[in-house]
Amino acid sequence: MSEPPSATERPMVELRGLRLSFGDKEILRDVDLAVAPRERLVVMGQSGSGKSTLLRLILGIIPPSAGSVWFRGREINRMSRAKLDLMRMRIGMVYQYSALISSLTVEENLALPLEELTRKTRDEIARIVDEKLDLVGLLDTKPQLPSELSGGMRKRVGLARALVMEPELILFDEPSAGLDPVTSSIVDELIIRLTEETDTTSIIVTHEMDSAFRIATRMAMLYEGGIVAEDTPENFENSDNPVVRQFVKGETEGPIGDGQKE
Amino acid sequence: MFRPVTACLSAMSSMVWLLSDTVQEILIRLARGRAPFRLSIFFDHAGRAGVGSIPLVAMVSLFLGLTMALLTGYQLQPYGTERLVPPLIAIAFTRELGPLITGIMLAARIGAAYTAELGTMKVAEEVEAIEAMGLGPLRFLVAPRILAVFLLMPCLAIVSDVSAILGAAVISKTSLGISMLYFKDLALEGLLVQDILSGIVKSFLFGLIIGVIACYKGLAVQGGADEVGDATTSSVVVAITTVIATDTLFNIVQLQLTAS
Repeated sequence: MSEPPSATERPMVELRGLRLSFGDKEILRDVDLAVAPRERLVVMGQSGSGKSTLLRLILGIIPPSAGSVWFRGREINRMSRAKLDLMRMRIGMVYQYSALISSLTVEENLALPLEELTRKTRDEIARIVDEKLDLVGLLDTKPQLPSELSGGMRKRVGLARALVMEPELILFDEPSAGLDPVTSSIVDELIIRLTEETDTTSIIVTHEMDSAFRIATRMAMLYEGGIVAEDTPENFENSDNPVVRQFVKGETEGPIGDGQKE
Repeated sequence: MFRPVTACLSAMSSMVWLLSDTVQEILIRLARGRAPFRLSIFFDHAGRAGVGSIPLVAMVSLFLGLTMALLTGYQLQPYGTERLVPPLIAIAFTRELGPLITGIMLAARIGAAYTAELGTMKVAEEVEAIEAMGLGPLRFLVAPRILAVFLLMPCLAIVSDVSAILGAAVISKTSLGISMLYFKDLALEGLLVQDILSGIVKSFLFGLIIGVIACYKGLAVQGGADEVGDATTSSVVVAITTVIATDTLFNIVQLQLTAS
């Protein structure tokens, strides 16, 4: 088990008064969130609540309408393009549908960031690719195209790709979505093992409760554009907050349903 | 009433931004002492856009040259002025029709492919993944594509010119009694360096237009398969229209400059 974050340690990621609107539609409002090093923060929320958007804001792919995003004490939105690219090298992202480059083989997909962003030799790159594919148990898929793999395998290759640059932070967008319960558990175990072994911080966005409680060291609930609760998994499970309770228990009656019925 | 105009102006400014952002990403790479993009990717696109288009461009231009020589010869023969056919075809193709026909064909063949590829990558979040890794999607995906069509377009325009002139020479020999050697002398006599240069400059311009429009339309896709299809159609229509409009504008400006 990796070392828990100390109280004085500077947050890895900080969102301060974050707002995001597309036209008249407000997606996020006044989101304040801090993620400590080595934490596995699970952000839960309904579909379309802005969870995946939050990850894109952290990567600097979408600029916020107001507020700021900080990574390792540096404000992302004020970074030049060159510095933003350097920062992105320190963050790995695992997409819901893997987002592997369809025209490249598994091996080429993993080698791509290493070839383009580092000065490693071919042998070193080949060694790292083998090592990461071995970690996710897919060493034999090297020559295959992403279209030849199953959904679960693609997700694991996506995870291996996120690991090749040895990132400090990994963002997971719905890692268990669309997977059968067994494959979903395998992916969850893999996330826990790899982040603990490498002391990596991770932010996991999901609405799959089993997966969320399995992975999380801390949880946050996104509802109507804001963080309505933030606590340990144990406290989340027994929360008095009506939104959290309804979401965790999957009940039809409660504040979440009321909003949808209107 | 003004909506189509504002939409058009907004798309044009976005395309300028796309081009300037691509140049910026290339400069960032160069500043780090790295190649802006993989040469193998550029040669891949150059092969598809250039070598792969030769049969189509040559064939269409050959038939156009044959038809033009046949029809103009038929009109001029009663007046005994069929000797005008070789310079007419040579000037028309090197200066105007070669670049224009090639531009239209490349917009349909390569522009459509670029838009569909990039659009599909955008929908599958591949473009975003490339950006998220800090690779720079513009210099990695857009730059080699635009450069390939920009550099290969003049070469293909020359293929078009030669094929059309060859077609016209065959018809002139078989129908108008003008030998191949005489055809060559007449064509070269009428042709000016200015005509050839004008055609080459236009070709570069058309290549740039086709590349930028195709990549912009592909990267602007939002949604799914339907939107990729719509973007591909729109890319071809907009590129062909813009190439023809630019050609007209180019001719007006060139004639004004020549007159003054």
